[in-house]
Amino acid sequence: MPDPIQPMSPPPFLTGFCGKEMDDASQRALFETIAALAPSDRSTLLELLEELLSTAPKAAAAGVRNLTRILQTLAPAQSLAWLDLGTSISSQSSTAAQKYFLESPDLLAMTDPARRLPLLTLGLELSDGHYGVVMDFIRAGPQLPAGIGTADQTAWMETGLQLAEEDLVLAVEYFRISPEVLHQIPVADLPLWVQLGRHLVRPNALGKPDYLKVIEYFRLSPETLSGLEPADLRRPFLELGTVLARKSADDGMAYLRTGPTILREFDSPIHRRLFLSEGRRLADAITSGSRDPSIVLDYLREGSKIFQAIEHNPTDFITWVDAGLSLLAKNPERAKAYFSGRSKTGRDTTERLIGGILLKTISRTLTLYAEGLSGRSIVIRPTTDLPAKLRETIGDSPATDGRTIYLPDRIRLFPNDDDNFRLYKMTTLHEAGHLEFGTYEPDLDKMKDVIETVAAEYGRSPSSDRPLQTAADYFGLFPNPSWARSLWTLLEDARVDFHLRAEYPGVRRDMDQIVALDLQSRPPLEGLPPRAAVHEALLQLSITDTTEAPLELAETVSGAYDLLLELKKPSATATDSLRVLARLYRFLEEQFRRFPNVRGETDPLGMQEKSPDDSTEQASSPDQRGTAPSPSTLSYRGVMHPDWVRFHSDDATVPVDPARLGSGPLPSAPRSESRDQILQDGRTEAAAKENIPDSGTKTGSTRPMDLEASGNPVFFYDEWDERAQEYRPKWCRLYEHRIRPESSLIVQQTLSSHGPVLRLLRRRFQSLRPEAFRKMKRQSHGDDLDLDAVIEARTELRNGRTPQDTLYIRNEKRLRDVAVAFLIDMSGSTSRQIASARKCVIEVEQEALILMAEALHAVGDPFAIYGFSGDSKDRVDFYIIKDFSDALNAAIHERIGAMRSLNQNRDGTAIRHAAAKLERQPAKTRLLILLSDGKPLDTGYAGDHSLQDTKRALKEARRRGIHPYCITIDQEASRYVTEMYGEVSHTIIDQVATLPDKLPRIYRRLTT
Amino acid sequence: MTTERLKGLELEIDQYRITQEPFYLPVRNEVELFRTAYSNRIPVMLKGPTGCGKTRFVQQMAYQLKRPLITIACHEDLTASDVVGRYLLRGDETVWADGPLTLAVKHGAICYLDEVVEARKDTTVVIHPLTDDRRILPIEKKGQVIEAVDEFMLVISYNPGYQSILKELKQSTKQRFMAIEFDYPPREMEIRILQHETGLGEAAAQSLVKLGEKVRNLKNHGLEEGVSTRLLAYAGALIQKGIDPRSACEAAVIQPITDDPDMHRSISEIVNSIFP
Repeated sequence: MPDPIQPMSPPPFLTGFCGKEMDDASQRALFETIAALAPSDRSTLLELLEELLSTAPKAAAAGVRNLTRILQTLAPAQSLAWLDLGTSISSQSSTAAQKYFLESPDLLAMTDPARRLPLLTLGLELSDGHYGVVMDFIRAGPQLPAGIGTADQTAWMETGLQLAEEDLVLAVEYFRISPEVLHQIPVADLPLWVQLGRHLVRPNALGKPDYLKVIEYFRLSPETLSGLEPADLRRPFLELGTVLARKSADDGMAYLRTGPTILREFDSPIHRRLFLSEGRRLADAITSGSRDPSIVLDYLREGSKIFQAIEHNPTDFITWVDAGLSLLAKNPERAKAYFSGRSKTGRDTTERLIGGILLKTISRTLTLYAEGLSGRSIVIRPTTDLPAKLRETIGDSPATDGRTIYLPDRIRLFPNDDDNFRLYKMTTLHEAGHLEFGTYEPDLDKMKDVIETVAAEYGRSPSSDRPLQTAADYFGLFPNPSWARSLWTLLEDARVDFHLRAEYPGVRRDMDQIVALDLQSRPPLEGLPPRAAVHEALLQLSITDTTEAPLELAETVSGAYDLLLELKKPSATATDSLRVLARLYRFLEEQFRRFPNVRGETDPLGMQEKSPDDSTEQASSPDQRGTAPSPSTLSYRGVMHPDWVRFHSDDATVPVDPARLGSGPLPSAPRSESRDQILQDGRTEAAAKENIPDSGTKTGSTRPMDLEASGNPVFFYDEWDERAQEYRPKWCRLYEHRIRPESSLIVQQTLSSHGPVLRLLRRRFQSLRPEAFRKMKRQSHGDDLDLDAVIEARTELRNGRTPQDTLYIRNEKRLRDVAVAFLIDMSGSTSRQIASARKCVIEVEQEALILMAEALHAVGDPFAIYGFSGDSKDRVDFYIIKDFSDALNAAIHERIGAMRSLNQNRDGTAIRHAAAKLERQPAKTRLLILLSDGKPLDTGYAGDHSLQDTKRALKEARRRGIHPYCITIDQEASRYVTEMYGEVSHTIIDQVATLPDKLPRIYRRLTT
Repeated sequence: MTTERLKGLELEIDQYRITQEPFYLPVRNEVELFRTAYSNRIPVMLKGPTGCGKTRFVQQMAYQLKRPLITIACHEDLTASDVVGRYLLRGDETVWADGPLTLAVKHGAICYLDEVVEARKDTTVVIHPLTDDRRILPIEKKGQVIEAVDEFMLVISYNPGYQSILKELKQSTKQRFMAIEFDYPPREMEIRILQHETGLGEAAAQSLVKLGEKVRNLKNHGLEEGVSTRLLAYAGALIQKGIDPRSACEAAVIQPITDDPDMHRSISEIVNSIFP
């Protein structure tokens, strides 16, 4: 029996080695496997083994132990390549080789057989110099996507190899992550992907490369890229990222983190592509102009919003980017403001692109128009102000509650803004018409018989404990209240439009134009279910008096139209509409009996609308409730809420029960009569909405100051961005507070210790009071003869000369007409102690204010004292210590005493607010005295920006006819005051302690 | 006050007589009230917005009562001398010249102080002795006191609406007068007035009056004062002369009453809504 091993007996180096490392069975298996190889393979194998054993015996042990398995699972060529690679590694690192021999067999077993040889061959190439990454490389093998061919595999490896040449850390990461990434991008894009990563590596503080970002990038890549759909979006995404990362690793990283989310907001791939390509255009411009790359991030954030806002119109979007690019060329700061949505130019451009008309730009015009026509106080508000619950049911349709008209905040239905305005106007007119023609005030007394009939007919009498209050209650008497409501809407709208057309012939053409456009989009009657068809026919008849009703409905429609016509009379009232409704309802109900399918129709065209009452009132008849939207009406006709239609009766006043309004009453709008008052109080809408931290009636010890609870009005102010050369609109939020009086030592001390000074001050200032009259001599006419002039004239006459005819004395009244506001910086720095006075700055300021107040009281000039501090642009606190209307009394002294050093100071905003208050003073001369103790400083408000904004605010004040005057008690102020105050007069008081003495003097000098 | 004016005063009192009957439509009982006041020598205050017919009413009454009407338009610089009179230099002597009030007191005219709040306070005080039962006018400079003739009547007009609080008429002045309140005439009457004043057809006059009402709704909503009947009459006159109604209203109604662009646009739209 021939010995199978006979043809080749294992060489002694192998038997010797195996004898030490393996048991007999393993040895035999190995030798047998080797013996089964073709002779050429066998000799190569043995050569390799010999080399391996001689260079790295330890690693070789692992190799030899796994060799049998390799030979059995892998093709001979693969096995040889495996051994070859191991040998190559072992020549560089025994440990690495050992690891390789131990782990690779499992990995290779998992790898696609066709891919094994290339993998190993490439690995061999890689191992030359970069043995450290070979294991990662092999490990990637099984994970490569199925579609990767040999060529691709080579390219993949070569990219890695190149990377390894530069940076091993990156190469390791590359081989770990890239197989997964290859599921998302083609091999050809791998270098791009890697390139982006390489830009993210930046030296850290120690000068060593910082890999944190790139590792995050690599690890997040599969997820990031898979989030980008379609796949062809990924390359431009990476390209843009590369451009960005090349300029700034931080910005690149921010881009990678936020970009995909932003892109996913676009529904269409075309839009995503456009958005990216425009971003690329911007990035290229930034690169070539060496501009701030973070603009691209601003673009991503703001641009996506704008793209949405302009309804993804590509041309408009490109225009928007173009406008920004042209700014970029001129002024990068402005471009940054533009792309971040902070600039007015940006907003204007956007507004122009979005097109249409904004309600806010014309709401005053419309309000006055409606008030003029209806003769009532009317408030116009955007529908976005409607309570959320109501908005769900009526959406953006116009609505009115009897005093407030809610209109969409923008109309862009037509390309032409005149048409958009016309629609706004018609909508306002129609809603005002409801008010003018009494829709909301039907007369219950004239309804009683109908109510009884309806109640009797349908057996739903109103409960005795709750009489009919609103139209909604009335509709509740019908079997289908929602249908009744929609019929009523139709009738009432028709009646109002008839009145409007009769009363205002000028609107007919406008109304016709809107209606003509509307009718084009109305559904054809043919094919509608009967109930909807009749409704639609009536809607068309309500305005045009023509319609094309299907034959089988002709009788129904014409019967209903006859009823409708009863309301198209000058004498028809809102009560008539409700009366006709009962007849129309019954008539249609009878008519529909002819159509068997109508009864089965549960909710044709969404006739039934969910009314807030349904839940309570009709819980017993769930079939009556529907959730479909109301039938669309004409575009200028709004939604009428029957809950707001309240019956009035001469017999008794119907009590209003707010709880009855299912959705709650609309937020009460301020009466327009009090509008000026509102401005004065500064109680803006925003104030009501903002959730202002309780300014407290409590006297918590942690509170820096005790403020009087007054609903803290909120104001918004622009801020000047010097670098961008434009305003940041509505940038700062200012809260107005009143300080609660608080007795304090400083007040008592000042009043007692300055007794003589006070008396002197009072006397001095009293002397400023002008005399009531001044005698003007030698006037051409006046109250008295000017004796001197008369004598002169007589002399002249005697001498035969023509005398002057100015012989009178006229008494002229002169008025001192000065109002002054003091604006005190209450920032934290005012707590600084003044060595010479043993007081802190704010105390000296308080002392000065008390004296000043007394002096002003003596001269009689109206004055106000304000303080300010704050914390960031979103919280500028403005404290009213004394307003112009407050009388000077002990409470004011105590309020001055309650002033404290607080946080930071954003001077510009405070100046703007004080100027706005001062501007409302009727005085001819208005003076704003700013008392500050240092540079403006607030979050995001420092250095040149703060100086320039303050300067700007002072300039604005001057433009508004106010004389600003600045007093600063910062010794170092000379370095920046000229820059900050510019042409505004100012003074620096270097000895703070002298302020109480100097302030009244300065004031005297300014006003005499 | 110019010398021409003063010279004029010295001419005939007759030039102050109203010879042609002015058009006036009584709205309520104002004619009767005024007549009674006249016969009982009670001074009268006409209250009401500008352009609603106060001056026209006084003219009508002066015509009916056959008295001369001396109108003094009051203003800030109007001094007591301006109304009472003053010495003037004539050649080498001084000559006393009666002021319009003195003239009226002497000749028994109706003296109409238009917009009296505009006058300075010291001027207003001059009329006080004339308004009580003494009916005298002291002329300080001459050391004289003139007693008014029976036919003399003092009428002031006062618009409580639009002046600033600084120009409120003092109680001591207000309470010396009987007051007749005026307002814009009711619709039908205003239509007739416009037709009469402008020769306009009824339909056009109706539209103008409708416009007037709508614009008056805006008073206190941004307009200081509603549009006056006078302005409506101007607009009517323009329309009558063939000017397009919208332009006529623009020129005679909108522009005079507002400078505010929003308000302007709103009223234009109201005009457009009324005039097709």
